[in-house]
Amino acid sequence: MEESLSVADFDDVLRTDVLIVGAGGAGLRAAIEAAKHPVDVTLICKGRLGPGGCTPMSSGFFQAPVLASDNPETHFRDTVVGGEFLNNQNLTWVFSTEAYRSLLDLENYGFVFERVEPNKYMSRHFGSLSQVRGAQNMNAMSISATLIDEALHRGVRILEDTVITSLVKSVDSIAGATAVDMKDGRFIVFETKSIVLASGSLGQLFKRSTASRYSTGDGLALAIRAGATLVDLEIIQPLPLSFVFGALNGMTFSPAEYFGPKVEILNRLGERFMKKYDPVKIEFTTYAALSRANFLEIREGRGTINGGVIVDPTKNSKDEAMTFKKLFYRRWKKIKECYGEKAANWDEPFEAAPTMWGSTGGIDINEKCETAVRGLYAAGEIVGGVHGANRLSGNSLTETQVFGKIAGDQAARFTLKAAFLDLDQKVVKKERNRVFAPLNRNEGVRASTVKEELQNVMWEKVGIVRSESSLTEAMRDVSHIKEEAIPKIVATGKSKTYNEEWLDAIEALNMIDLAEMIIGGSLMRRESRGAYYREDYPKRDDRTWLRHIVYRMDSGVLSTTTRSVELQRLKP
Amino acid sequence: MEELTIRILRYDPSKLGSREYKTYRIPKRKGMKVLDALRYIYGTIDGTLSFRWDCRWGSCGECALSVNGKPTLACAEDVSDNMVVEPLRNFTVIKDLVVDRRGALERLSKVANGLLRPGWYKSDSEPESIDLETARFLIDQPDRCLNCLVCEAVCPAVAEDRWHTFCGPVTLLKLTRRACDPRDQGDRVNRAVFEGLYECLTCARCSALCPQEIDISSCIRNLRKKVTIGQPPSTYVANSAIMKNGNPFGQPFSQRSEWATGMNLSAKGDLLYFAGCYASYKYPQTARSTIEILKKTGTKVATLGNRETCCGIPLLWEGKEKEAENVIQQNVKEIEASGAQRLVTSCAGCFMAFKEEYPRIIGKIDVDVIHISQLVSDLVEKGQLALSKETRERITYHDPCHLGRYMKIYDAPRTILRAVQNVEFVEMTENRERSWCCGGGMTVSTSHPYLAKKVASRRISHAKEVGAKSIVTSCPLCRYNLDLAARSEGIKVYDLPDYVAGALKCGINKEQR
Repeated sequence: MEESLSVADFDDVLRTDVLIVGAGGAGLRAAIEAAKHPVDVTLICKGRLGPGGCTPMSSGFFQAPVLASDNPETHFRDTVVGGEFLNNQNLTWVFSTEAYRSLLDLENYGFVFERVEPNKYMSRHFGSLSQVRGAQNMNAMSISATLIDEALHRGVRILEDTVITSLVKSVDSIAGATAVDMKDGRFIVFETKSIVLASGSLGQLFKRSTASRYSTGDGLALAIRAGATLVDLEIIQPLPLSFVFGALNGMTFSPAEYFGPKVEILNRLGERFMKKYDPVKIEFTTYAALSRANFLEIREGRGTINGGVIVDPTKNSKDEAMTFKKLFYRRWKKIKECYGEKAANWDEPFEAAPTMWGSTGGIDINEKCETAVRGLYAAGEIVGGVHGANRLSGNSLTETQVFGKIAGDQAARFTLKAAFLDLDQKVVKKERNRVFAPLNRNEGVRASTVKEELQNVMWEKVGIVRSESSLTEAMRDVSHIKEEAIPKIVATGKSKTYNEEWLDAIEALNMIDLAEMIIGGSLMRRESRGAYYREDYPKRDDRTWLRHIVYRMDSGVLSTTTRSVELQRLKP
Repeated sequence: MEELTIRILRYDPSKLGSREYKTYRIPKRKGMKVLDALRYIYGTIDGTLSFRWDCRWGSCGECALSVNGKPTLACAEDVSDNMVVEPLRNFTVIKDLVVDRRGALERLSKVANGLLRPGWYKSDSEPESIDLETARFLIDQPDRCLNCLVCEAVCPAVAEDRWHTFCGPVTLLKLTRRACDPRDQGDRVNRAVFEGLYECLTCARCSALCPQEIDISSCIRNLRKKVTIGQPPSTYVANSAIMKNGNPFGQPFSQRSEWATGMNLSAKGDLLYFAGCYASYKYPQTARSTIEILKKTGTKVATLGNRETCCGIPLLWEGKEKEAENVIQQNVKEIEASGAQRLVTSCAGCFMAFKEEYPRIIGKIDVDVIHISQLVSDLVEKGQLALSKETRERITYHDPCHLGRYMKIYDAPRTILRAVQNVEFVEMTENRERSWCCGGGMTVSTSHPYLAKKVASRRISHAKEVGAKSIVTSCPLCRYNLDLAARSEGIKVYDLPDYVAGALKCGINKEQR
């Protein structure tokens, strides 16, 4: 009797050739590319269609060698040197050679980049790059809107408010997935030949983060449970300056160089502390170094009452303040909203604190975006290896477009040759029980509380500055949460319609696994590299640590190993 | 610690009769936004509250909802005590503050779908050529859109039409974006006409409340300027009449100054009154009232008589700049000939034309333009004018879009009405930059009378809510349109000069006694 799926086990079965998870830049690009083939494409996203993922939140810089003076080789070299040689050089090579073409694709779909001449993009020079490069349009939301138009035009089926809960395999290939429609609590089983994971990163693991509310790393947790490998998950990039209170808490306003040449960053005692950490460049050091210094000053009790340091741009001329307002109007407006007009016009100093930006690690893929599981593809920020230990400004948007395109294309091509596989009913039934458990429990620990506790632990102990002792403590705390709170996690409201707590519970179950992985990996990597910083091993160690940390899960047991970095094209 | 009271409109589709306001008390924190308040309530008081949020710095549009009746983004709106939080208007509520915006987004993508052109641009050497001005416009205006759909929630036409024939401001904005894109070869303008381009009231409520500060209304007007065929017949007739007869009603030139018979007005003088078409032909009493008020200032009042023509704004609104220029030149010539220092209008449309459009088209005009409300409020503030009514009444003021949102004159008429003795002045909930439209919308009252009347009825209901027996406005088109809906409700609609003139008499009587 238990052999076939009964009505109680699921509410809907949807059959589709390619299932794409995530409606950010990468997911939508994959959907467009897949829909160019004669296959049936479905895209599901956790929130509302449109603001999907972190794409709309980016500053709209798209790095690609657009000028005659530039070429993919230099872009490649900058990215690898910036990533401190932890890059998967095959991926980075694909990334830099395809970057310009994916920029043209965006314009062909109707997007417009800013121009200085009718046929010349407005490129920029970032501190970390060797060249003037890329193009920009500050309205990154418009990228999503353009891609949505194109995807709907090409007949992609889009399901909003749908949370993917597990990937279902048959032997070693993808057979389907399970998901919950948050609008009405339907448990949906997808029968699919291939899946593209483009669900973004895990920024929400930290209390202070610039990531989207939906960036809880679901895709990463699902992938590793399904047998995919993850690399370098422990490397998470910080940003030095972000708001310290209100809704904007944790949102970055800009790097220090935007605040004029005479900007000073002070602690509570009025000391220009960066002189101590970087006597040469002072405030204009790397993002990671500045974040670290800010974090340490605040931790040592030299921060302000709101837990920040002080940014003082008042010594700059009025002209520079006006240029800032003109060039970065959105940021100007946000500073005005949070700190008042005087601060926005640089007439008074304001507070700032470091925050978490994005992860450079993620699912291990090859140049065809294939993972270790047959039929499972990944693209976007969820992928690890492209940026090594440090992601350069503007490379993130390029990544979504380049790998989104490849993943969509490859998944559709695979689908044309593959067949639908049978789903294991027991697995589906078990999954349904797991997902509905928080809703069926009557008492326990609230999901939002669990999430908050976890975010606090991760920020304080596994944040910008880590050490053996902080990581050991964090491991103990996280294990405690996992043992005490997770089995008792509950959604107090029992409504199946848009039950935010239920969503929080589903996310928390993924986040706890990722937290364990990150702490485990951090304990292993005994060096500092790029954005990754260990207080007790503050030096980069190329002799022993030019290695990826590889995460695998075999029948529920996590294993962490290392793999040496292949330096096919560029050596340190 | 300071505390706040917040009322939230809750709704759970699985429970009967669950749509009700719930009150929460929360501690106020530094820099608190509405989103923080909701997250606090969710986190510590009531986990069953549902609301959407995502980026928390105003770049995704996910958290759009209504705060005290104003559609806005929760992450950018400051908290206030006793605030009321409701789901975004005009949309179906899924639960609590979560609304279904999928339909609107799909319509958007279907109507204004991606670039339409035969081939792809492929070149490895340089990007496609787009002129700088167009690129700047696209990036500064339509590309800023977050699809938060606040504009759809604030639109008076959408509120009545519910996307039946009018596709809504955001879709028209997207169509404008495509139509202005030099790479696009689709027939966007005709599509826009079919999707209800002429049902837009041009009231600019969307522009005033857009979280991204996009001037949606002016984008839509720009799209109208590109229309070659497909205007509503009534608009076409009115515009032809303006070109031929100098007024949209097709009345002869000779009847234009009939209202001034027996008023002893000269053709030359320091103070020139520009009556405009509505006052000249439809509401002669308004013109006479204005003169009566102007005479109080003691200066000699002049009019252009039959040589006055339409101010040209209906033509400009349709993009007929060339035709409008004839009319404008004619008026400017006559105004200069009159030797006036100041020009007074009683019509909000004429006022905006002289103040904004004339300088744009012909450069500076050599006369100081003021609206009658500014002049009267000046007199009232100086104490030179006493106003009073015989019977006590409760009145309210309706902001015309041309005077309010376009010209930012909100206080002058209110100063006047507050100064009238024996009158209780109340504000409707939707006032000033949030003011509802009268439904007239320059051409909509003739091209889509049903829609115009529905919008007007909604406005009248706002007045009834606050118990006002009379509505004063300062635009003859608003007066005309509101009057249509007000008659059956027993509410009186006055143009400001008429109301002031009525109050003036009583004032004088009192002094004489």
